[in-house]
Amino acid sequence: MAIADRTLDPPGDFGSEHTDAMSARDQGWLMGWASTPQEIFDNTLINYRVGEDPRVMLPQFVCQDGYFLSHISDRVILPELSQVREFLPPFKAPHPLSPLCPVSHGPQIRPDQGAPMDAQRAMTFLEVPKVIEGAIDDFNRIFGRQYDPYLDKYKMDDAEIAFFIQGAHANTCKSAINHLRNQGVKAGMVRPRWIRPWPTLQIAEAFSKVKAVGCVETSTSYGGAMQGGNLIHEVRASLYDLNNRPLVTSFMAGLGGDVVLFEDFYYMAKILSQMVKDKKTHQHVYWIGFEEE
Amino acid sequence: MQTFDYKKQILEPIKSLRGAPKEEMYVPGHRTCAGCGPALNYRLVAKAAGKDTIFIGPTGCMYVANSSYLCTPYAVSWIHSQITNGGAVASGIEAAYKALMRRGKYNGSFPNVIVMAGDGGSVDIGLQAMSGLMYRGHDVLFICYDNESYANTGIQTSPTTPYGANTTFTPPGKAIPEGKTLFPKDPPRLVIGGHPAVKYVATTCVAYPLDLMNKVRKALNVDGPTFLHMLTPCPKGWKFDEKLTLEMGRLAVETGMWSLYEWENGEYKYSHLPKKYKPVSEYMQFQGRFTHLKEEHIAKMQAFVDEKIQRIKAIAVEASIPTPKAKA
Repeated sequence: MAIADRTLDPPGDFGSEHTDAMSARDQGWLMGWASTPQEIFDNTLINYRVGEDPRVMLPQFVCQDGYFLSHISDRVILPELSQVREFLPPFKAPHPLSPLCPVSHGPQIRPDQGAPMDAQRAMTFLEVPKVIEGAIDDFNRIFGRQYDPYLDKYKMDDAEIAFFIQGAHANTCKSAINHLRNQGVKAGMVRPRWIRPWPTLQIAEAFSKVKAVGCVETSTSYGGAMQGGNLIHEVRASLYDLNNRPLVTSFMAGLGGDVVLFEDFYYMAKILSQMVKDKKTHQHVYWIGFEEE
Repeated sequence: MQTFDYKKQILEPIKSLRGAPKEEMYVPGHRTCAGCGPALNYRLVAKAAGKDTIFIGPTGCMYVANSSYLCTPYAVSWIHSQITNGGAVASGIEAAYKALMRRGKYNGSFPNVIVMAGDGGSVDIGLQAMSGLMYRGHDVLFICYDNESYANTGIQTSPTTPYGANTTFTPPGKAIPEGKTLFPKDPPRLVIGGHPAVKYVATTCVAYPLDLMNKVRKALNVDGPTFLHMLTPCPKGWKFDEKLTLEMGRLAVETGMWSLYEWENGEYKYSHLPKKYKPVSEYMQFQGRFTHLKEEHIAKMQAFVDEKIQRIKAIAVEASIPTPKAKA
């Protein structure tokens, strides 16, 4: 399912916010945000390949920021049909609804039959990573891209502070990091390409040498553990088992479809740098644009 | 619905345009297009309904363009609803006022509860909630302002978009030269045919403002659910010069593309019936949404309208299940 996210009513707001799709992330679908129109296109093909793999057979949410990506033009390289045919095997539904071979889909179950089904879905998700890796290998080879299977890492090799951010605002983040680097700030960025399955080990590994992580939240989790968005909960969980845990905070930015400015990222970097200096997380959530600088 | 003797104002008929109330309940400050039919319609409806009114505004042009960026033109109470649930929200408001009045917690008279839904919010994506309201018999006026498209999102086809109309989802091309092949739903007959609790249904057109305002008042005076199907020409969606809004409304009636009637007690009463109908081409020629049509398509539209005109005289739609008379 292609999703261009949008701020939830009430009241009406045409701007992008991730909350709507994020609220469905426990449904058992593959899920991830693109950050460019090219990536939306590529992710669509990749999701068909992964989702329809017989080891997986799961539905897919292919998400993009509404308006910022869905309604703004950008160049997209379209592949040849032969490349797509090479990447995508012909789809054979395992149990089609057909008069030739009668099947029933979805008969009513007892509660004690439900738990094994949930367990089966959970087991399936454990299969997904290797399917993703195979798919990305083939995709990069056939279409000439260089996607990492799970994470888009930017200037992370020697980063001391890092942003964790998904979706279109990551593009602004990258430019902001370039500027910060010129100022001598060792900033980096990790952008998840999948949030289901959540790349726990890859995230832990990416942040293992970083001193402070800022999750940029373009979605809300009112009343949540960290009183802000959703990403920080799973990032912190991913980092929990590290011997040297980085400090972690979150920044509410881009909510309602608001633009996230370079200045906002510089402000966030300042906070992260201060956390490193103080060796302390002062707040778990900062509302960008609302606080006194 | 249980009968309860609750105080309700009775709105008097308006005898002339000059005699219409001067006070505006829909004031300047909205951002609708120049020549917007639905906005003019809203002004007339609000004027006829008066002060003691609560509007429910499902998402659409009469929500987004009216209330953009926290400015609204409503001089009476108003609440936004989802495009899917105007009927549901209105049901809740009506039931709440009835509960308050039964318990002596509200001293005013029962207010006008009016849903101002577009064609999509009435008979497409809003159909489920609208039908539920009609079935349960709430004392609500449900208005379908019909600009014959999902206009607010840039003119997409809806179930009231006419045959042959060019919209972003029914673009004409080699494979489908007329663009739209489907003929529209008939909202009043949908309501009449399936909802025994409904007592009064009528059609209106902005080009006939006196007729319009009196039908609004008559519908509000009825105890129970009522439905108005209101033609509101849209310069942007229909692609005509913005000063021709009323002209389009008049031509719709004069060609038979739209008929003005009331339905109550199982009877259809028509008004403003043309003695001689103008050909539909006279209506369609002004509208860019029809310029791609060939003779054969216009002939198809004419045949559809001709059949409608024949049916007008012979109409006898029976109520589906007669409603038992309420105990006196």
